[in-house]
Amino acid sequence: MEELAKEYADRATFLFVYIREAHPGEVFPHHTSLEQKVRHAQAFRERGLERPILLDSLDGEVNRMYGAVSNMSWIIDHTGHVSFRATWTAADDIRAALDETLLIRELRRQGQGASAYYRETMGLKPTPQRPEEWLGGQKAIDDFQKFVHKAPVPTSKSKGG
Amino acid sequence: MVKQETRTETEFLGRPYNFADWRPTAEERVYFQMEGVKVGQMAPDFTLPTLDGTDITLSALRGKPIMLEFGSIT
Repeated sequence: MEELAKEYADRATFLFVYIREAHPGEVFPHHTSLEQKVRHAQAFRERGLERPILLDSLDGEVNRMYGAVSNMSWIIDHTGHVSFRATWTAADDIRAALDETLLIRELRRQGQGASAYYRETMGLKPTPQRPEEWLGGQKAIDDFQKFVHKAPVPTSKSKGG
Repeated sequence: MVKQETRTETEFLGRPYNFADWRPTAEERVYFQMEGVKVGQMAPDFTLPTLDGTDITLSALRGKPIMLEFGSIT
């Protein structure tokens, strides 16, 4: 996303909102104070995130305003209307949506009356192959593995199915 | 005839659409129940502090598209 932000720097504004930890563990546990959250946020800079980092309130006021999913991407057009939203951040999707959002603005500015339509799609989100690279800690990995591989599966007999 | 029967077994997210036993997959619980405003609606305005100490107000950034990513370290 950093590369995309740089490529579109003159055409779009990229912002990152730091919300609750999606996979808390020993290294980066769940937030219990704003001071701790600010301290943890430094990790983004250390990992090369150069976009403005917005600190959401401890109780996730803005996150909840926008749907409360842990990882989300939204694109807002030049008039303040939502033109794209997804429960994951995929660079290809963002690029395509940004290009369309920019094109619609351009056509309207030229008086060509661009008609927009509503669209919903489902995207493929691959299961992480190397959760050991997650930053939260072993607990975060264990929690994930438990959910993915050991989630209870209903064993009830089919009743008139 | 066989095709007709197959049609009643339409799958959604790898499970029968008319499933008999509900089970909480992450997809069903979270990722396909995205709350908040929809595409085409006004984005809710907010002001948040940045890590660098300044405030950013969404509505003050009109004119260019805004890519807003929500995320965490983990």
